[in-house]
Amino acid sequence: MRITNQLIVDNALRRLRDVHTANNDARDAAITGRRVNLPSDDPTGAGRILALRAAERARVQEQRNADDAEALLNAADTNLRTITSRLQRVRDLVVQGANTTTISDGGGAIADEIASIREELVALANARHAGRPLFSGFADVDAVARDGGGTFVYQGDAGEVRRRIGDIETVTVNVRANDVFGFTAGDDLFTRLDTIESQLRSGDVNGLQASLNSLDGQISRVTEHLGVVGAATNRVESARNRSVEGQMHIGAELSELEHVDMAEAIMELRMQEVALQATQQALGRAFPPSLASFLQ
Amino acid sequence: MSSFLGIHTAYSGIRAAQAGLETTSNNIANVSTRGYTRQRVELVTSHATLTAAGYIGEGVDIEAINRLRDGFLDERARTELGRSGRLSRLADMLGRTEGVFGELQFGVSNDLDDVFAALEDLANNPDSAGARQVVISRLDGLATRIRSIATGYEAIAANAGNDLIGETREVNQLLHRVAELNTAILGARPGGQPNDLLDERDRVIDDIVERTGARVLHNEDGSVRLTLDGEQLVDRALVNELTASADGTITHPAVGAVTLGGTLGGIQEFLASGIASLQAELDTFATDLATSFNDQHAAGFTDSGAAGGPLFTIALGTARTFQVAVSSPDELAVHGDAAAARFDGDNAQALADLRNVAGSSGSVITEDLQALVSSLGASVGGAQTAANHQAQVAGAAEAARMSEHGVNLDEEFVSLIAFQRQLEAASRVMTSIDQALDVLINRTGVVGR
Repeated sequence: MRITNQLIVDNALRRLRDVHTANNDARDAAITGRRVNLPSDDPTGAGRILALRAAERARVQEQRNADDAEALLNAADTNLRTITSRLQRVRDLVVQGANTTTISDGGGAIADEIASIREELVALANARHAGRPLFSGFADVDAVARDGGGTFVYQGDAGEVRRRIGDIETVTVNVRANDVFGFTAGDDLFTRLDTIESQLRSGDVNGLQASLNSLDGQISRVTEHLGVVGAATNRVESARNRSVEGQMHIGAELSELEHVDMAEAIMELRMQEVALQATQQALGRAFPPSLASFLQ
Repeated sequence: MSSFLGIHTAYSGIRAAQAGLETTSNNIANVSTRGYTRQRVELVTSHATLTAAGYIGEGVDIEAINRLRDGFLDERARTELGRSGRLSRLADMLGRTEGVFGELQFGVSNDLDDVFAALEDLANNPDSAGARQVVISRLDGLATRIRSIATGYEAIAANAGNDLIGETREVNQLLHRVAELNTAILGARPGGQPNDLLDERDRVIDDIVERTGARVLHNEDGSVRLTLDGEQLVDRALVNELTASADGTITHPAVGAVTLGGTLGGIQEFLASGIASLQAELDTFATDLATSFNDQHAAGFTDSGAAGGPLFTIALGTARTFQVAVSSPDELAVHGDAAAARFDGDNAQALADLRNVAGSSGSVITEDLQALVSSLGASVGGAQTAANHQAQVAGAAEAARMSEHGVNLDEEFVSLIAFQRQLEAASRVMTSIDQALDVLINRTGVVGR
């Protein structure tokens, strides 16, 4: 090939431009630590990166959801535990009342205590967590109240409060007072306590015996729901762990797609610097001494 | 045989050497001139005179001063130049759309993720006015982003249209220039090759070919013809002007719409298929997004127990008109049940679940977006790779052509020396003959004086 002066100049410039571009790219990669900036840098990778970022956001959100779920479940748990222990006391009182010989006198005192415990239990059943009723389903009302005729009724709805704790996994984080306190079964705790109170006052020992059976049923029902809450708490716990772990895996994969291997990037930058220097040095000699230098 | 023949012969040598020196000096002067073709003095032996002794040569004639140019290399370089012009312009234009899209640093994906996170927070706190406000502002952020991409695409398309019209006008001027040069060259031809005009015409033609991908044909009389799709653009002094419109069509007066190569062809292709398909993809995405969200929203109930209205509006399926339709927090259909109990956030959760559940449009929105981004990246990346590759090919073809017609100084120095020696020698010959004649004229017949 015939080498002309313009060709030498053009080639030199083109090489210099190429080396500068490569050098610049290597420097960018080393400084930003990013491998993919635009979708065209890696079209398939770009789609994957978006998917992973969305998944990462979902995992973070799941952890927020889990925190929220746990707070609600813990509040329900605490209340149900207190209710159980109060019911134990009621049971003791009923047993004591049924066996006592001085029922006309002692019965009144026991009945008074039962009445006060009943009010406490109503308050516990109507407890709220951050302004939100714990046992009323979706409704913003007290779960349990006396209606116009003085009968205890469940005022809430059947709403199941769910929280998403996994990609397609949800957990129900509430129990409703109509299930917990036997409204659904047609023998609710609060009416029963009313009955017990009047039985104590009237000394109806046989009636108290029947109430004791009912009370045992009530206690086991509350305990059962305590178990439901506990199981839900466990699910939330394990889902949260999975979510945190998932987030870590996603982070690692994302970094593999998005980021450059630093050691590699620095090596590359070093190589490009050497290449640039070499090109510049070579260019210094690219223009061979002309024949003119040797002509007299 | 004339006694003065020798002087004439020597003189022809001097003339040839002078022409050589001048041509060489012109070559050296133009060593850095773009598009200059090195020239060479073509020398031939003069016809010989028959004498009693036989044929005696009468020196040297200058036949022509030619450009050293290879038509084949020219054609190849121009073909590749046209292709390179088309691909690099297309890649450049597509690259701008990628900039408008803004992914992966900021972009729709971020806004969409924000929307889903806000919806899920709302599902956790369905009674919170703050959470609702956040959802509305996130929805608005998403809609604004989509609109700004759509208008960005439109601006790029409009710019491309303007470029097309402006550059077509420039090409028309270049076509006229070729016609003028054709006329000038035809006029100058009988007296010898007008090398400067030929060089200029080649430069102008290079420019036209890079912009249009036109074919160059040489007429026998030395004029050139430029054709596009087999239709004449220039023939001798005749010019057919092209007309461009902003929508990407270029019309030729004889045949109507034509498809060009070169940079104009790149713009045409960008307008005809590149930006159009990107816009269509964005419109489909926005329409699907609106459908899925609206239908899911309609399945829920507002605080008053009414079914949800549309969340987004999109007129005529164009992303440019993508708007959020709700403005007040109580328009949000948060509840999953008509009873609209205060803490029922089921529909907000169902909306948030559109993240990974197929909506009524039949696909998962986030996956649609990933496909959109991948396809954008693939078309831009593909165009850039093709452009880079073609630039290499065009560079090699250009180098091959330059290696033929460019000036090499060392060669010129060698011819400089050769012509200088020729001049010296021819002068010496003249001196010798002069001396011989001097003897003959002044010293003949003086014997015994």
